[in-house]
Amino acid sequence: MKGKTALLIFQSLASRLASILMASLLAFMILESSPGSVIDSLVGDEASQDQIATLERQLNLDKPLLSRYAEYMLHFIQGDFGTSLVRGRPVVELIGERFLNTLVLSFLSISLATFTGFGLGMLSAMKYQSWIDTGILVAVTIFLAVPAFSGAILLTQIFSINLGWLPVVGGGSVKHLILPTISLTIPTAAVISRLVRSRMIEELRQFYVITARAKGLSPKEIWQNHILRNALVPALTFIGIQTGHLLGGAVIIETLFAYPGIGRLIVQAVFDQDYPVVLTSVILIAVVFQILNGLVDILHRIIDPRVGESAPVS
Amino acid sequence: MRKLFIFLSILTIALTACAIRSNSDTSQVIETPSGTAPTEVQPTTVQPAEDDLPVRGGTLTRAITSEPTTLDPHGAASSGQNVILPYLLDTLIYRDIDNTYKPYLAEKWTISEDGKTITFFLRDGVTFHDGTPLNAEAVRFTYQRIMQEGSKSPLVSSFSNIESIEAIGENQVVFHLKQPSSTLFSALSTAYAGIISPSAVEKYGDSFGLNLVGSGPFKLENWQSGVSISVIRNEEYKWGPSILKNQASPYLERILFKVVPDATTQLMAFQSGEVDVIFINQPSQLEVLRNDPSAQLIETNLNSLVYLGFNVQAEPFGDVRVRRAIAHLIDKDEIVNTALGGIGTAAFSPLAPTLPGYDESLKDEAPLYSPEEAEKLLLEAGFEKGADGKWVNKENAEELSLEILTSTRAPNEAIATVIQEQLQRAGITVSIKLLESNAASELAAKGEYQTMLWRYDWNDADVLNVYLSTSRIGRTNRSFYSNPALDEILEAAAMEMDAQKRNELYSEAQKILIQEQPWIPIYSPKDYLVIRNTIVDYIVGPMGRLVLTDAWLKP
Repeated sequence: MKGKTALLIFQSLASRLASILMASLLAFMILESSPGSVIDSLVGDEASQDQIATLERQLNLDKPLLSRYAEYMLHFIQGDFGTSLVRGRPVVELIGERFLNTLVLSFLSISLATFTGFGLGMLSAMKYQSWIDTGILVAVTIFLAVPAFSGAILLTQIFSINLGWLPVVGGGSVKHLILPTISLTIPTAAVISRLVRSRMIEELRQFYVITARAKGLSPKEIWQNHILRNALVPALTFIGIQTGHLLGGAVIIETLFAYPGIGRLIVQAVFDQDYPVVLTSVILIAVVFQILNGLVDILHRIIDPRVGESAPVS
Repeated sequence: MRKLFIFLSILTIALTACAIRSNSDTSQVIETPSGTAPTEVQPTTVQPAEDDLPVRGGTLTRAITSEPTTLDPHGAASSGQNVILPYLLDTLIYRDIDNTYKPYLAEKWTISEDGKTITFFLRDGVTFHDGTPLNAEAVRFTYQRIMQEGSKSPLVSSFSNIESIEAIGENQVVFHLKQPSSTLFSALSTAYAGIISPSAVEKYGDSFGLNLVGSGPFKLENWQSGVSISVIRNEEYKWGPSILKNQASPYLERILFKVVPDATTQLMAFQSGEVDVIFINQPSQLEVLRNDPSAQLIETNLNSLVYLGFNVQAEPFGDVRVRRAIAHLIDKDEIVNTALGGIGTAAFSPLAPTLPGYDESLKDEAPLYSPEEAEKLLLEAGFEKGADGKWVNKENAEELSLEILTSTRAPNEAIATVIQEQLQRAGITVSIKLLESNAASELAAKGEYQTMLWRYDWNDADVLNVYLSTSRIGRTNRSFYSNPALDEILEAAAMEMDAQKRNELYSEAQKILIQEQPWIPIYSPKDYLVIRNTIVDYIVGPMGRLVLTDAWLKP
């Protein structure tokens, strides 16, 4: 049994590592095969052929594609993340603080979203088909339909311009976190509450609930030990994936609030075709994503012991 | 589970509470004086200060759209860098709004008879922020650095005409040129030609771009990656350009440049009082700010032009009749009014109206909107209108169609769409290829396009030489247009030191280009500089450069 668990862990680690590697290779190939070159970002239109050739030599751009990737990855494994081609600064320096900012923003909003999403979802399910359920449903649908950026603009208009409570732009303090966090939380919380609600209603109709009641369990016990437990599984999966999305995909919100996160940096680096920055960021995000999903897997096993024994639950 | 919920709710409440508290400590109230009408100031004017004495101190906050990748003036250029550098660096000469050159670090200069030797005499007592003297050697060092191999300076091509630079004594710098050059002055007046401290370059090495040391009115104070860059008053400063009233250190204590990538957010940050200076070019934003008494709106002279350029190697656009026919089918006023909401001026010349050498009198020679004229030209060029109303080449039965290549930068798509609509109305099928700007540039450079909707921002009429002369084919001449008569005129103009004669040459050049239409000039863009009304005595120079040495904040 022990050997089997070790093998499972090893398999899982190997597949996660492989997917991180694939993500980096894919990012590199897509970046390099797209039109344009980093040289365009370094020098303007009037650069001479000599100037361009010199820069290509200096930046090793004259070497073949795959050998550049291999070289970069070799250095990466040794902890040398390289230097930005455009900014001339070590990638670690560029990414470090910004990645931290993004982590703070994503985890704050995902926790808030989980908390409110579960709260609302459970309330809806418990008061199924009452006016509370309908009210929540309407509110959630509205929040789902409003794109994140227009919601963000509305929030800014109210809290920054009309009330003057919160700053519009920047980062570095708690004040600066509030509006971006809320803007990211709302749509995520809406999805989670929908997931939780529908799963709980489904569970309520299962025969084991009747059995449990017949056994004499109190409604509270049934909710806590059975229904909530079962509803947790799909919600957790969603939360794991959504956190990954927030890490790289909060670009719109970061741009709108001029928040110094990694999303904006990646987008700029992609436009500049600055591959050391893009690759390092992609790998970092992939690693965090894999860790999170590993955690979600473990949590699944704890919540639902059946997961480890038979085929994986989708 | 319940414990977790309770914990989380407490956490949320605590977070919100401390956020609100920290806000109330620092929140500032912006007073908007009542009864002040929003002002629109002409670009040349200096805002009068109502006889008040300037007040020292205060921070001015300005939004920048993109964070500079580096502040090294010889590193990768970016719009953010271009905004910040003029405050940190001084140049030899200052370019005034009327495009004349005024003394700055150079008190005076002489040009030899043959135009090949230019001597600048530097003023005494100028020091860099690190205390080292700004002398002839520092100037030579700076320019040598631009010319060295692997330089990323945008001035490399402007400097290619320099044979050598010589420093004589403490304050004489001599330029030895291969040919006389009338474009060198405009290059030397840009911030990219600002003088940098040689000892700081040595000290910081590769990280000089993060620790820029110049001699300008402000010194680099702090750079918070992704958020802001702040510069602080240089107390020693007393060598501003001769046009300034204040020949001492600036009144403002600090300028804070906040990175705000989104235009809507910039406007909201202005409204909330977080930034004092923004640039806008969207009609809806202009409407909002016209009704805002705290905003001063200044139309800026950008030296820019948006044009539809042909690839003359792509048939049938090598035929001048076809190019002129298409020019006759484009209603530029309609473009300005619909796609741009009236912000911009319809253009007819390939030179921006604010550039020296622009000739307004040529307007009558330009092809105006006239479908009849276009029809005549197309028939002449061997096309006929098919039964479906489309133009078809009589010889090979090919339909006349064109593709517009442009970048995703606003408002390109809107303009391209209006052009598409206008040409399709006349029976020419148009497709639009929208690409991210580096990708669009690459296609354009390879000549893999038919027409491109492009924009230049250039502060000299030499722009025609850069983009349309034969010698630049394969580099900046993406139209592959070649006209020996034009080349001769442009070459002569680039060497002509007499302003009058130079303008006459450019007038000739414009005449040819208006005739030949390798570019269909569409409009010259306008930007508005928005400045909070508590700021007075600023100066707006060419290309929207905001000079703040005289400026101060009304308490």
